[in-house]
Amino acid sequence: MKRNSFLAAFLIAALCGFAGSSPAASEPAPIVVGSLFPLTGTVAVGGHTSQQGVEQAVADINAHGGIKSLGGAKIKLVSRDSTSDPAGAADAAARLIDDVHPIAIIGCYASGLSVTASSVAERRGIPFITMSFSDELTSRGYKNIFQVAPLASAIGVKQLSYAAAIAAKAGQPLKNIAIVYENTPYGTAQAEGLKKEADRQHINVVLYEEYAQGLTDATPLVQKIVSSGAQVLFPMSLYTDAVLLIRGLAQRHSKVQIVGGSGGFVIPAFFEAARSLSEGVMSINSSNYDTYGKFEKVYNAKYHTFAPHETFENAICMYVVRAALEASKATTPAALRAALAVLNVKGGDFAGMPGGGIKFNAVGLNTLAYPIMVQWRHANLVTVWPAAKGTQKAAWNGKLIK
Amino acid sequence: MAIVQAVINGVLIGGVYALITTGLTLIFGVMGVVNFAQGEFLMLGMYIAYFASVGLHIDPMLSALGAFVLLFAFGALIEMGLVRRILNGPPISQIFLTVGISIALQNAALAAFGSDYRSVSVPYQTSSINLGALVLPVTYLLAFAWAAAVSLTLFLFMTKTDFGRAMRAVAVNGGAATLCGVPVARVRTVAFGIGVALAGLAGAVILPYAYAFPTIGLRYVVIMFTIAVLGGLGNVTGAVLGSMIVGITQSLSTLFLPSALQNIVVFALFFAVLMLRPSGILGRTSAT
Repeated sequence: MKRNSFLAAFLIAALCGFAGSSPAASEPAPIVVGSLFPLTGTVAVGGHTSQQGVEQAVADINAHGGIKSLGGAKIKLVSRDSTSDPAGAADAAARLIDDVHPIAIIGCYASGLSVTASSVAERRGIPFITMSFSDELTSRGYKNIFQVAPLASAIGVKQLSYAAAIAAKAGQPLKNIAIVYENTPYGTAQAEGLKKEADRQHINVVLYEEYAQGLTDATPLVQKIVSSGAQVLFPMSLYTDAVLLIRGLAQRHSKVQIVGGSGGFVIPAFFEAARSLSEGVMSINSSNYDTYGKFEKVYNAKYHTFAPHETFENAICMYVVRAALEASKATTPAALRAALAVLNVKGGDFAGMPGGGIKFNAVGLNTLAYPIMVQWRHANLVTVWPAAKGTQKAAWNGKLIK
Repeated sequence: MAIVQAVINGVLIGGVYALITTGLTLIFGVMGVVNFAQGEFLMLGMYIAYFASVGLHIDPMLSALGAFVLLFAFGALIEMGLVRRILNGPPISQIFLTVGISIALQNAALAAFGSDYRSVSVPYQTSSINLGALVLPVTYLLAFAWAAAVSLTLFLFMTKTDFGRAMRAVAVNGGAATLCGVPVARVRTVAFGIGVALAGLAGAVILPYAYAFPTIGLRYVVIMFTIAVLGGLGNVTGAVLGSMIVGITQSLSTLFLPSALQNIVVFALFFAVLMLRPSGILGRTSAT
């Protein structure tokens, strides 16, 4: 008898407890977003900085009331290691989708990884939002890929046309140029765009040289650049090769003006390695921290270095998801996909991107984005071109242009 | 003049390759173990030199000695604790062990140092000596000087000292060496230690022109094995010769071919040597 009453009391208490907690239960379920970046392997450095960007955006969104049109639903980020291997990225994408059923995936920083991971996402109907540059991503007729940054080929074209415009302003029009590029989707696509534009402008390409990514010795390549007699060098290189190149050129007292193809030329580690050699080095870029505003302040306070472009652009990918969710109240990947396709946002979170907004075309490419030219000046990377968007004036061969 | 410069570049980089490869071939010669973790020991040498430079302001050319000593101790411990157990096992277990050590070291480095690229600043980083139109970068010259000094010391050690002779005896016939009173176990420990330490030293001396990160070893491991097999796996003189051949071939081939194809010529040469002399240019007879 005593035992029964105890049981009854327990049940009543449990029921009350349940009733008591019912307002909390009505809080909307979190929205699961997946992130997939190379956290191990050869491109892990960019993977980690990419991950930091998404995390900062999620923290910002959740701290400001989550997704308001969905009753303040919070974003729950599930992050996985894509590895630095394209096959590994595809496996990781499949497992991520099966395990947590994300409404969207953000990844994979490196184009080669995004290509395979987005194929998996396409087959399973999950929107894949990326800042990778490769032209291949949005040229396969996929319905679920959304590319926020400019294409590699467009970046290559602007890398040349901006440099030509700056050189002309400095009174030293481009005549002989050297193009060296790594044998990856990033390197080849961008170099092709650059070469075509050089041919169109009748600029003489005295060296057009492919090299195997991951040099252990840049001497032969440097030798070719120096003996080509080029006045300007356009290298498409990731960090390690960029460092070997710039040190090798300095050892040969080369005065060639360098106009890098993003990659290794626009990250904090480049300055750490190049130091005074970095002064005046230009690079094309998809965005730069001198326009990031509050995002840069928060990042810098936490990590004590500037936010590389991939950090910010991956945060942009997350803000793209938020904007589409807010606009559509989507709760399924298919509904989110439909909302992304018609998204048209400007300013706010997107103000730091060149173009200042997001509007995807039929293949999923952000039509508002365009590249910018940045330059290392006294240990800082500053936007210098297009002139109207620059935070400082460009310097060509050490000469400031008016 | 371009050809002379290319040959000089090839010799200089060949010296660096020799430094990296000698340890690998020494370990194989004395122990019959193919050490797939050699690239990771190179990576550890780079980190030792990096932290010595950043934390203690010691130039990598000097901390190379420290890297040698520390990695000798580390290598000797690995030999006594792990490698010794598989010496009489099937060859596949050697592969599992050394590949396992390689993966473990890569990931330990990732956990301990992070995935960031590390690079040092030294005053001679961008200096070069000019002889007429020829350019000799100081970083490569210093690395080459280290390689020459180490090769010579190793050669003298192997030919003029009792312990060196004992090493060669173990390389030729371990069983007979035991019967003659050679302390075979100790010889193997020291040989493995020296082999590992040489990779560490190499990592330190190339740091001024290169950079360190956890998987840097993978970049060197292919060239390392190509050279070791080309020269005759287990033959230290062969490794030095192979290094020069590969360095000069890479450098000369880029005069006529795109840079992306520089290793194609090396591998074509490698293939030809294996067809004509399957045991490598100098074959495998002794550890010198």
